[in-house]
Amino acid sequence: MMSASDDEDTVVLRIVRCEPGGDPTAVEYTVPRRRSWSILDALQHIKDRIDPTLSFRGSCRMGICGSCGVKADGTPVLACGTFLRDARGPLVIEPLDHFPVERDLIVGVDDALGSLTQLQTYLRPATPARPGDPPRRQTPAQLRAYRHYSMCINCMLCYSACPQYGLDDFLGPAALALAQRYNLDSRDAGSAVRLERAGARDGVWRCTVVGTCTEVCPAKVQPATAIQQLKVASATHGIRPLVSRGRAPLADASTSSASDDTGPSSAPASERRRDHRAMGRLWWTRQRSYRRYMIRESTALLTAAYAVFLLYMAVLLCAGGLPIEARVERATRALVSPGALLLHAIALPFLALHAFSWLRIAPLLLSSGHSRAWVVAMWAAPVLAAVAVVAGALS
Amino acid sequence: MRRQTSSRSHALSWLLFGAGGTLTALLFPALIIAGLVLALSDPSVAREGMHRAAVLLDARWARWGLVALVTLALWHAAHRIGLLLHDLRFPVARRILAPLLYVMAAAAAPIGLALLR
Repeated sequence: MMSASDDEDTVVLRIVRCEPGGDPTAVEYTVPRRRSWSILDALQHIKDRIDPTLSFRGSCRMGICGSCGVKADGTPVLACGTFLRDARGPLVIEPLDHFPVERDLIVGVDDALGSLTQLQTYLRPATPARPGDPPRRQTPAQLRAYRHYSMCINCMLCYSACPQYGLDDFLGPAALALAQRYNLDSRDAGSAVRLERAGARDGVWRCTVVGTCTEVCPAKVQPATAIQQLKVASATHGIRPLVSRGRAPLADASTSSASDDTGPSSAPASERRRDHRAMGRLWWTRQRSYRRYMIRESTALLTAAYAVFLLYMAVLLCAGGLPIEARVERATRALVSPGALLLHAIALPFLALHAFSWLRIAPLLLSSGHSRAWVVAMWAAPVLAAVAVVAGALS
Repeated sequence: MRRQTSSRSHALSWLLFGAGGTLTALLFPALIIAGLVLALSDPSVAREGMHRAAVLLDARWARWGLVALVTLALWHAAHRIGLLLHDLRFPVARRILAPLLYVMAAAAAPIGLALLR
């Protein structure tokens, strides 16, 4: 163990280090616990005073450049924005997940940067700007539509927190949030190409709303919200040609040529990422938010079971040829049976959780400025159906 | 062309998933509570409740509505079970089971309509 020379209150940093081509090893360093010190200050202290071979990234020291992302006690954080005073016991510092480790805490983020290129996360005006053109002004409302998404600092914490990015080919949270940022920009005319790319197999559909990207984002960009809005826009974009035949195609000639602008990074992400660390089957046990997500997802089993039970009850109540009293008697016996009671007792908490989480996520879609009419129609239809069923039952 | 078709199928699948999710979130907890209350109450109350349901299901629109609810709920569940298998890293099971679940969910509509004719 290497230690600092002063006798102040200290904190142990257990840093997972990795030489190029070698296996990761945890090395402990003891540093002074100063109230104003961030993890980045401690890393710099170790490099200056204890071990000059330690490698890490850092630049602005004020949460703007996004270069000092690391995992602290399992959570992706900016090293400059996380303070030693909050540490309890040894603080485990690791490189970000899902990226190849270059050395110690430095990871290669080429794959994530490639996603930005593929999604054309830059302004694509309808007509190219020429010298002497008047400025393209925006109203405050037009600016507000995308401003929060433009706050992304490309720190890649959301990529590290996103299990779907680690599990499979996925364009990733920040790139998709930035795509939505440009789609919402009134000066932009490139949304058709972006939606085409975002609607592909490795695009928005890979997102299962785990929500950890939003939790760890130091710039409060809310990538999960952006992706849900992009899903609605992509769904609208995908099915619009089916419901409006004969209209002009969505991606015109001037924009579709740009879809070839993906360059060499259009290869599968697993190939591009070289040696990203594999995720085992029990990855979801690592963090509370992942465990919560898996419990939420498991409610699907009870949803299916209860749907089948509903159909069974309806068949009992509608069986042809029998008088209504006999049908009612059979259905009542089925309802009060121990099996049905057990199903109800188990299904209730799970479906209540499903309802709670679903209705918490649904408003994210409604806040989209894009395709709002489609979203409202999509949600209004089931609501009206529910009201009709309840009204029918009460009448 | 293939990418467009894939994108459209993803979009359609997701819209059906969304509709199923909304319906189940709005209706299933209420239906389960109603079912529990009926099952745990006096038998005559349970019978009365079932009688009301039978009368309601005599209307064709109610039967169609119920079949739509069950189909969308199963589609929603199929979509999420497929994702669950993906998350748990069972690629082979997902490749075999997920399409089967979608087919079963889609088949619930004609089967339900035939059974509730």
